[in-house]
Amino acid sequence: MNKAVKKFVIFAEGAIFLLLAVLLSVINVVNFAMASEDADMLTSRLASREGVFRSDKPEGERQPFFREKDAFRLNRFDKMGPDSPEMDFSLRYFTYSFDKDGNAEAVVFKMSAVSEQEAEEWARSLKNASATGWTRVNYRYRVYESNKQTYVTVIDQGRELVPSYRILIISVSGGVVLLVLSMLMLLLTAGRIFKPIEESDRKQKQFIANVKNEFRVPLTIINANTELIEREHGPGESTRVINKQVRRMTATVKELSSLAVFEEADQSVTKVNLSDLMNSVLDSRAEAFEQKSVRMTAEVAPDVMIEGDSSRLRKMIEELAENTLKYAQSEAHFTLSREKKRIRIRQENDTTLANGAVDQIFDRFTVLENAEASGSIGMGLSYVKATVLAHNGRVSAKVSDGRFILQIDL
Amino acid sequence: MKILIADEDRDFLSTYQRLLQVHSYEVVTAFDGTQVIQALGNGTKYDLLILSRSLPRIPAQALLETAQDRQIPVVMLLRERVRSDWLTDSHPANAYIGFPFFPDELTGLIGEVVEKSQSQEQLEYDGVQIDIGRFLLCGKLRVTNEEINIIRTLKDGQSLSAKRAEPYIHSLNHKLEQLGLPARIRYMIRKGYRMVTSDE
Repeated sequence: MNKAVKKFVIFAEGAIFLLLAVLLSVINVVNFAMASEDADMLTSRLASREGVFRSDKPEGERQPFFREKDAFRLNRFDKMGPDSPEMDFSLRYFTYSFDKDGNAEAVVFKMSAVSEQEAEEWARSLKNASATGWTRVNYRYRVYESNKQTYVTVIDQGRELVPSYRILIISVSGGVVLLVLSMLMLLLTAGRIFKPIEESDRKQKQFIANVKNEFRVPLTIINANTELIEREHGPGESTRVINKQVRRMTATVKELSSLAVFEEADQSVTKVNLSDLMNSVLDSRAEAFEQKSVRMTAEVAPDVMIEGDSSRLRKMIEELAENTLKYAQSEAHFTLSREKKRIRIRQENDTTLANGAVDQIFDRFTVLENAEASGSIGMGLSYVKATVLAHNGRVSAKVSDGRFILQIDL
Repeated sequence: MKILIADEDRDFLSTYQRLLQVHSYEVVTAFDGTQVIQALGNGTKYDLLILSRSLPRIPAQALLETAQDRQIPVVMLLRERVRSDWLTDSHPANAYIGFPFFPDELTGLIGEVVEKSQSQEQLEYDGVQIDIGRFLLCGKLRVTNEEINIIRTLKDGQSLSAKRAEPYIHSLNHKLEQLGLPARIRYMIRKGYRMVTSDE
């Protein structure tokens, strides 16, 4: 799988994962929040009745089970869940009251999972806790004051939480299955999606290569025949013009060739002394910087070696230098250093650009506002990026406090 | 002097056959690898083979090695840029020239290569020894015309055109390292490329 397809699959899968994670998190958080709210409604209702439902009051104080206003009606969705009139009878709970001396009294005990003594100790442990919350995973509690006593009510929400846990397990499992299936689909289809793009790119590069190559030999033949004509018939105006135009076209083809170096898929890899390359390029540009009144300085670590294509690397440094020469206002600095296992090339110059990342300068045919009048077509730095990527490196650019900073890590 | 010139473009062949004949060379042409093999095998002694790297039928590298084994120097015609890995190969061409070029560029290169191939000169500089006639570095590794010129230029203390010499400088350093020699060609700021030994 090529790099572009791999990158697409990773990013697409990452996006799907992120979306799923957010969606499932929201669903489950809301679900559990609603379960908490339902439980709080029950504990609140209990708190309003001093911790005991009417159905649990001693005989004599108890009210009739059936009440007209709670009668079952079809489609009464508002009488489901904690609002169900049957809830008072089915809820498992206990309430303890504590006086100011800490003496406990069981108000009601309707639990089979713990003994009364354990329940009292449990309630005592919650007495000084926050007003409401979850305890021992499935139990909701409430602490409240009434008649100068502190009440602790604990209700069992195990049955009510089962659907929430089911939703959690199903949603997470479903999410994992979806991720795996989406990954498989992406792997199967990404190649097909990219094929037309890669084909178009390949044809474009092939066209450029063909155009360049189709001129090479004909130009050689034309200028050789021009020389033969001059030898046989003497030089003339026609052959002079032909020679001039052939030289012009030859220069163009050579320039195209040097730029096309960046388009080549395969590299000629040898051990390259990057320090020497950089010093050589900067030295050759020193006079140009002086003429433009730009103070150019460099800190080049010695003997920085890299396995790479010497022609491409040289061209990359030349394009960096040319770019700096065009846009530096009064000073420019180049650095070549080793940073742990990486090689770093850094180019800085003063600029009139606004602060921020300017990574778009590495796109083809993109020029920033300070370059629009320079006539630049915006190809140089795209070639720098292509070379950096071909050497498994990273490149970035930003403007900070009036300084343009470009950094390459190889 | 007899030259065998091989390229797949017949117009190029006919033009340069005429041009080189004007320069008093005897020229035989071939437009594919089979014809080159036939020409080399018919007993004729050629002073130079000008060979296109993209010649059809037989790989140019095989033809190059065949010619060099018969002590025939080879100038390789390129429709692409010269690659460093060709130069560090066990059998690089004696010289490379890329299309498009002017007639005087090729004729100048032919003159240089033939003159060197017939020379008995031994070039020595900073522990680096070149048998110019055999295009051999320290008797072991083959070198190209441009690499020999670089060593000569450095010995004479003249400046090198870095852009043109680039791939050859790296290939020379590679060969010097292969031979275990301490000398290297390094760029000195404001002085240009120089031969230095590893303890400098």
